[in-house]
Amino acid sequence: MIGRASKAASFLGGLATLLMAGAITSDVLLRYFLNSPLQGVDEIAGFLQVLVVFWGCAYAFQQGGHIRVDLVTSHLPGPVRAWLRVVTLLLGLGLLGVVCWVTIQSALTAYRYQRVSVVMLYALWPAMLLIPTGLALMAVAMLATLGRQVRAALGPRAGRAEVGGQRDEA
Amino acid sequence: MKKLACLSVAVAVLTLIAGGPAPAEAQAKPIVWNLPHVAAPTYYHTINLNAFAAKVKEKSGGRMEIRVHPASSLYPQQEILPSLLDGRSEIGPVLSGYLTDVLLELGVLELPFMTSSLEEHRKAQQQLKPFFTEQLGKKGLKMLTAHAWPSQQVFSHEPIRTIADWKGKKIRVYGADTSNITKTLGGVPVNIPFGELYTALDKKTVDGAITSATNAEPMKFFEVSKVINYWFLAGASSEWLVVNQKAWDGLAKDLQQVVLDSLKEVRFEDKEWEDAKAFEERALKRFPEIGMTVVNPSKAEIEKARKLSRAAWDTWLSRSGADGKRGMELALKALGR
Repeated sequence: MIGRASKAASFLGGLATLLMAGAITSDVLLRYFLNSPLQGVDEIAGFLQVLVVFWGCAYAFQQGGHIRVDLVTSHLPGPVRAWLRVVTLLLGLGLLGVVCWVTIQSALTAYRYQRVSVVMLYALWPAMLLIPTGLALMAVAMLATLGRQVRAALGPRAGRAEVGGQRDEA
Repeated sequence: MKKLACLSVAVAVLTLIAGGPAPAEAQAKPIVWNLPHVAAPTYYHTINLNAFAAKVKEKSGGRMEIRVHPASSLYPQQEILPSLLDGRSEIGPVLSGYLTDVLLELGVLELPFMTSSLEEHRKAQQQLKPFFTEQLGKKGLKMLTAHAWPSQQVFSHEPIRTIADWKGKKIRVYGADTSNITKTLGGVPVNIPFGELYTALDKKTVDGAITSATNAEPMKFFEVSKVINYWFLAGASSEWLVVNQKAWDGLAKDLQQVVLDSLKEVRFEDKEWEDAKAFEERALKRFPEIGMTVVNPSKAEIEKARKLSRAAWDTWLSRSGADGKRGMELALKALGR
């Protein structure tokens, strides 16, 4: 279920990338050949970029796509790595919780003041809400991984190692 | 007895770990207010704000401290107003140029060609002070002073001498008014934060930028834009120094007085206007020395732009409601029109 939701979100992010590329290409061509750039492309591209980045976070986590430095941990024994992973997942969840809370507050403030973009006067709160929703989805994926990681850490000695983001990797 | 001795030792150890008994000065921790701004550290707004902050510290005997954060180092331009409304910043500027939604009605003097010089802008602003105080008050902000950025002009890579030259040009804007006038004149507005403008001009993301001509040197725009076009879109751009009302109400009465007295003692408002004029005159003198070409469009072209700009006024009126309409009437009256 979490995997499907993450995949769907990242698929939307992919579509947004295509839209962004199409809009920017049209704008550049119209600007250079017809001296007639499109109004608001920069703003729309900005909104779509938020979707690309934040709605792709959960899928990237599940695929192990986020940057990790394992220079030291790769030399540690499996059980130690397993417990370290529990700690880092807990820290990550805490951090995501804070960021989600702050960005929800910002989106609510934008809604309360009916804030709009400068050029096209689009409401800002929907784009701002993409940030906490994308991060919340990543937090759910992390929570599921944390559950599997705790079970692995407490399980048979041979299986005490880091688990991946997805169930089939565990 | 032995137990008591052990307890005393434990308390002493804990006290030492905690950093020892609190000294008297630590108990009287100063009240700190954060003041975010977009201006460069060497720009006159920052210099005057620093002087004001120093005076507050001096007059309060160190009980109160105002920390000035220049060059968007605390909040980017679009976040300064929300931070004041929410109380995340206790004190700070409301820049009329950046108004896009909240307090849009304050930007009446920012409308294109509403004022044509610093003097005219100041005169109108003084008469509109009660209106500004009232509108800011409605949003929980207390106005302390009203001043301005110097006249808003257009930096560009190629000269913009005529209305036809605006067509298809991507122009950096920073608020609803500059966006509307750019659209009206045939350009394509792009909202770029002040702090990112240098790079945008350098990379030619935009063909030009509306901002104060006086930013050429402090922000090093002369390095990445060789033409300054004097269209006089606005004689000045209003700025109000405000305090979040809750923060103000939470301040001891004597410290409130310190803040007000400090503004008077450093002649904050007058100094801002004097510096605006001096910076404007100095910028004009310096342009040839720093390799910039000054373009003065003909009176006929400016008149054409003035006529076209009425569409931008209509857009503003339709968005700013009854308060905007009242502000417009007051402004026109103050300007004798």
